[in-house]
Amino acid sequence: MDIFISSEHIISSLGLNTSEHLDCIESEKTGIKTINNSELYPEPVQLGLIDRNALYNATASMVDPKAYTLLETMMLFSISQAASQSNVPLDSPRTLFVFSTTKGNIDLINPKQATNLPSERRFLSQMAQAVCNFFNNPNKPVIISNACISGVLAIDIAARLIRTGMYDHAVVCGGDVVSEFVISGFQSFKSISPTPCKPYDAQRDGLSLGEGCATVILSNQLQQTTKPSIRVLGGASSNDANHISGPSRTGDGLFFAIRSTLQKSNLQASDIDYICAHGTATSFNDEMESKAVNLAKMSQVPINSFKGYIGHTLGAAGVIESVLSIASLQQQKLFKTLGYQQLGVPEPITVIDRTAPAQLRTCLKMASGFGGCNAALIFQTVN
Amino acid sequence: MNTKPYITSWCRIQSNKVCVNGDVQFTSNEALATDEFLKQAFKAMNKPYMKFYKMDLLSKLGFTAAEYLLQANPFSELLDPTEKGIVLSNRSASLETDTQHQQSIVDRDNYFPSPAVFVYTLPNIVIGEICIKNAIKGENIFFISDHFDTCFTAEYIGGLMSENRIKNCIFGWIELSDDGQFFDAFLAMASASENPLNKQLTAENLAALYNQQ
Repeated sequence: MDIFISSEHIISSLGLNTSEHLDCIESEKTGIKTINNSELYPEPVQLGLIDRNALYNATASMVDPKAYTLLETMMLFSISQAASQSNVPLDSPRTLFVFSTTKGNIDLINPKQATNLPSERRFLSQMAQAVCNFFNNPNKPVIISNACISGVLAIDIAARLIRTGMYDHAVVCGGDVVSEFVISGFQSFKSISPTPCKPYDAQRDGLSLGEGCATVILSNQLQQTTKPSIRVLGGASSNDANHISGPSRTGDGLFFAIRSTLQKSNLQASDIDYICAHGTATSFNDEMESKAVNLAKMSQVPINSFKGYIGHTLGAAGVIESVLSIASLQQQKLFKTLGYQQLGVPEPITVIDRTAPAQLRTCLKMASGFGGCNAALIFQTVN
Repeated sequence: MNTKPYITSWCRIQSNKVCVNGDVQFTSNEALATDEFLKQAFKAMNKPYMKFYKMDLLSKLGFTAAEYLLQANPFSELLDPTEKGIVLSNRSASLETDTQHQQSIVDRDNYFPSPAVFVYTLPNIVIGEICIKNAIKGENIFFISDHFDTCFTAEYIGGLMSENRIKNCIFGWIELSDDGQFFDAFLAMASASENPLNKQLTAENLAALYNQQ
């Protein structure tokens, strides 16, 4: 059974829709800025924040700002924007909602943040249900909270569930907001760079945090649009079984996820035209990915990371970056890895260092996360 | 071919008991705080593992359940690590540890965020701990739902194992309330072929085991 991308939408520090993102990427503009907000962190820190005023303006007629959290508002906006470009019915029992988030409404447990919202919304299932109810979807939402691979998993799980025959369509929505909770945590790991991150670069010195939300609507029916159609092929997860906060030193876990993804898609390494990687710009992650890519015999395949533009958006990352890699396929263009200048990983990989046209059919998306988890997924043009 | 997998063993940890395949393996006579209960339950196995003491409560709960489960029914030695999977779920994600981290940052004059706590503010870390101990490198995922969804779980594990990659899969519900006081763990092993208990992995069979007193 073929699973198609019916429509998509992104919000992040680059803007409130996918074309704003692509404009910024073409102009090599980053959304990561120095933020001096003592409520978020005692010192200035590099963050990719969304324009919250613009979001609230855009949702004023649709969403009561007192009834939903910031993350829920992002999700409601993103899903409705994606839905407006799709003929998939959101309120049908044949449509499943699948969510991806690492921390959800975590600010609800912060006693310093005044809120009138029920504290039950700190539970991810309540958050997801609030979003589903808004669209009158009758199904129990599926929620994945699996660190930074959640977004990639969510798209794969949605496709798998459509293939069971229980559903015809799925709305996949991934989101996370930047919070004091998360900034303080990553700072305690000393893993945040003082400048916008530099994936795979010899001078890379840590990640940049970002926030965002993206939606992908999947369907087992092909919807003709002006843009080239994209299908979702196989996906897989794996575990390094090595360390809970550092990746494998060999890259074998991620390699197993890639290998399984290729097998499920009936493809070989030579079929992959482009890799949209995780590329957080930490020393260990980028090194591990270079090893996994070589184990998979893909050292010559053009590879990039989008995190130099938007930061690491955690539970949103897998969905946002999948949408951007789908845009690559649709536009027949490879986008530069912003922040990258010189290869600084131990194994050779072909990092995309300028935006340029390319003949692309098949893209491998991959991600890795705390807990030793890895995920991979393949997108392909229909023709 | 769509043969359902089999449930080959299960472990339940709730109130003051650890049960495996319906038999009590450990019980505490007095009411203990969660941390103390789990420590005692784990120590009773007599299989020391120093990393246990660094884990947060959610990981201690899931790890202990997995240890008891695997003691009764280990993974087949013939399996490659990529043929072993793990699928967990709960309601409260990592809220118990999230509360600890939140407390470490709420007061700027008493500010002590720590990587040792922060790393556990993700529910899938318990999966990581179980994978490390048991060399599990296959498919793994953490779902969130209001209650243990036996229908979804049976369907999902069935689908996963029908791909013929995962031969043994640990799966279940590892729930810890955000105040750390209430816990409910149900872990089971699914096997593609072995069937010692004559129990197929169906929603009904799973619900019957989970609801057993």
